[in-house]
Amino acid sequence: MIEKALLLVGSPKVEQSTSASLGNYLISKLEESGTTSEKLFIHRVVNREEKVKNLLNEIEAMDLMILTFPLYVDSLPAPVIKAMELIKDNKTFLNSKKPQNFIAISNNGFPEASQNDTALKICRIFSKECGFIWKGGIAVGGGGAINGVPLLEKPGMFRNFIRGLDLVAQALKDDKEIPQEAHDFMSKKLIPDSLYRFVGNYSWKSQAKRYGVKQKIKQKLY
Amino acid sequence: MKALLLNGTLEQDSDIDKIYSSIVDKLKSKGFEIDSIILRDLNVAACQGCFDCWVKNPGECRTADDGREVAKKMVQSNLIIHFTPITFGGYSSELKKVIDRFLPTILPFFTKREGETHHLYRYQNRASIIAIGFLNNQDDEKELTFKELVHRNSLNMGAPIHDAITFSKDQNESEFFDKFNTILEKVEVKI
Repeated sequence: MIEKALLLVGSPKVEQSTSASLGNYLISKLEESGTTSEKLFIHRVVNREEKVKNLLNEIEAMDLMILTFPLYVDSLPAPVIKAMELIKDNKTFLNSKKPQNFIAISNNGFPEASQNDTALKICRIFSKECGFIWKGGIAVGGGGAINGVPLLEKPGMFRNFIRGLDLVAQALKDDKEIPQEAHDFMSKKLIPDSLYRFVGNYSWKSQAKRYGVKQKIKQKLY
Repeated sequence: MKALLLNGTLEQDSDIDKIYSSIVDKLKSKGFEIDSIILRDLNVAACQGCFDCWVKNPGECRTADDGREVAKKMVQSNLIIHFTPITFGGYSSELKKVIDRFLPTILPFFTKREGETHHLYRYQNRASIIAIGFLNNQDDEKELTFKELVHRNSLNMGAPIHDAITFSKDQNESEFFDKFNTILEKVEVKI
């Protein structure tokens, strides 16, 4: 039984992020079985001493930590790495004697979920260095399609993420490894890669046009 | 030939200053014009993931701080040295804060490269990358993850030459510099 879960959201878009959408849904599934939870936004924590203290207290109290973040240049966003450095440096001072589990969810704006793999390896090493029990890393591609929308607002479109996270929640409740089936659902593509690139490129042009800079989109300033 | 040294060490990493100085000397002796930046002394805000640098003000971050200047220097360099304690197999938070701000130097448009989706480059001139990572003790898992990260970064940044060298305190310095010199020669050929 997971008594207390801590959700760490590592996106600068905080409540409106895809990272929050994925984390919130997973937490809601755990809460159905009586888990209590706490949620912190890393970008609001790392540069404030009092909030860092609170983060460390929450880590001491949790028996499951869920880290959700967007992939930034093949790794985790800088403030998330900063938080990990702080957690590791203080871990030896923390007194938790119960087993503490850790899971990470990385999402990116490319169709290939596998581009998250390096970032998830970094999370696994962090887990080991802090003495947490690594429950696994979940890779999500095409995160832009979620765009911060709660998964249950579009249950049809997000059905694979919902089914995948249902399986993740069940595995965590049963204290088991995340099943391959969950990874398969989470990394399922919404559309073919070539169509993703075509639609994405059209979208960038449209956004630049909206801001009146379509002709300048490729400008070189240096 | 311009070399940009991004020093991502933290306050407690002063024991690797000597290696850093030796690298600077080596590059100078090869005729590189050096720009050495201690990143922890800079004011660089976190990337907000807003994409304004792609669709609102193309090519420039909306945050007017030292991050803009580092991005400009990245574009104007022939060689970028990533100097960092290996942190869980990746970069330190100090180095990562400027890596995250390189987004304005590429385009939003997608292309397929090495079988994956990546962004097109904004600039013709792209720097080679040599990443130097420090470990307290040899650790294969961290070393492999670090090398994988540098390879992926180089793919995204379009580095003509890239390599990652790791160095641990129990390792021979001359062995490290032999590797560094070999890579540097490859970089010089490409410039």
